[in-house]
Amino acid sequence: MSERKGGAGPLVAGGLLVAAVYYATCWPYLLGTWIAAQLGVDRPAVGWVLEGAYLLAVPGAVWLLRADRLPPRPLRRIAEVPLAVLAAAVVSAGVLLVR
Amino acid sequence: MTWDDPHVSGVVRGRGGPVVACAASGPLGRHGQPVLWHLIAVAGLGLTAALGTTLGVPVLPRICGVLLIAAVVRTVVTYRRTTALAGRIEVACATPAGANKPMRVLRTTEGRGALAVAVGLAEQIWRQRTALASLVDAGETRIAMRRAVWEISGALERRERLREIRTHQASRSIAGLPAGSPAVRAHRVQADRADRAWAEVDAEVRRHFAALRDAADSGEKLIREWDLGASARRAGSELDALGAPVGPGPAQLYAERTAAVVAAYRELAGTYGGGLYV
Repeated sequence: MSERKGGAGPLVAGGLLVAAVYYATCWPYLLGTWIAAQLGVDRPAVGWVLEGAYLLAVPGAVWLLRADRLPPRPLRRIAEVPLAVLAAAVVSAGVLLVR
Repeated sequence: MTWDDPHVSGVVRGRGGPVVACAASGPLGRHGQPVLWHLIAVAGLGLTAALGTTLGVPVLPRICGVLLIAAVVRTVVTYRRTTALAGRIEVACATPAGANKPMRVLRTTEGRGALAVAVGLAEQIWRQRTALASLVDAGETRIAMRRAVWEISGALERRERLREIRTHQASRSIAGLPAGSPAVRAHRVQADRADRAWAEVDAEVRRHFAALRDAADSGEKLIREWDLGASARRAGSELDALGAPVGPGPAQLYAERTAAVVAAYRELAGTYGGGLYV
């Protein structure tokens, strides 16, 4: 009697993992292009702006949250700019969804 | 009276009064924990909105849109509040012990546990204010409880620092050094000073707790006796109406308990603020 090995399980799990990583990385670009499409402006540019803000915001947020002492105010403000851009984009998306 | 701040775990504050904070931060950083749940809410709502748009259900994205805006605003507010509080904690930590600090910071699990007990007792006394309205003034009780928590947190903070000093002194070995050495003598003198100061602060903490426990216990007992007396009076009235044989009247004398409550509250008033007893 032979035991059935593998099957579609690992493949599906792997696919979901790849999708999760893809969307976790690219959601600002997708969000930006969606907002741009709703507003009728240049789509990739807005997407890339948000993607850039996201890639800057992640290390900034980790630094802000993990710092033992509160970082100096000017540096904190600089680290908060990409976070503010993302927050503004999410709020804009919310407004467009409600509209 | 608001005792806890939902935005930062371990913070105790009276409305508009002093703040007692715990500097402990979890694995997610100084204020990662409170912000994390808001971020998860934002991500979840975003995904649901995207799903609703893909599936062509127009009402779902609209609801998610409103909630998304609220969730982002709440995240920003929480982040701002925790950052402001972190700044205040840093100022308090940098200020020397004994100075007029803007807030107390407790850094050990033991200190935070003791403070939680003190807050629990203060809350118990605060809850008794309605039942004991004829004996104590609610406004003065509020002030006294706020001061009590503030004073206890100060004593706990000093005890924490003194324990740190004692531990540091104890870790320094003087084995093999000449007993007459000025350094060894200075070490012994400072160790002795730290021991005496710690014993004094420990006794002060015990006094604070004893005063709060006395007030809470005596108030609780008196309320239970009043309640029992009222219940006996109701039963007596019903038995009278039914024509039951008349027995000896219940001894509804609470003089002893009342005196205990008054004494305990008078002690609190003397320690934390005048005019508590009316």
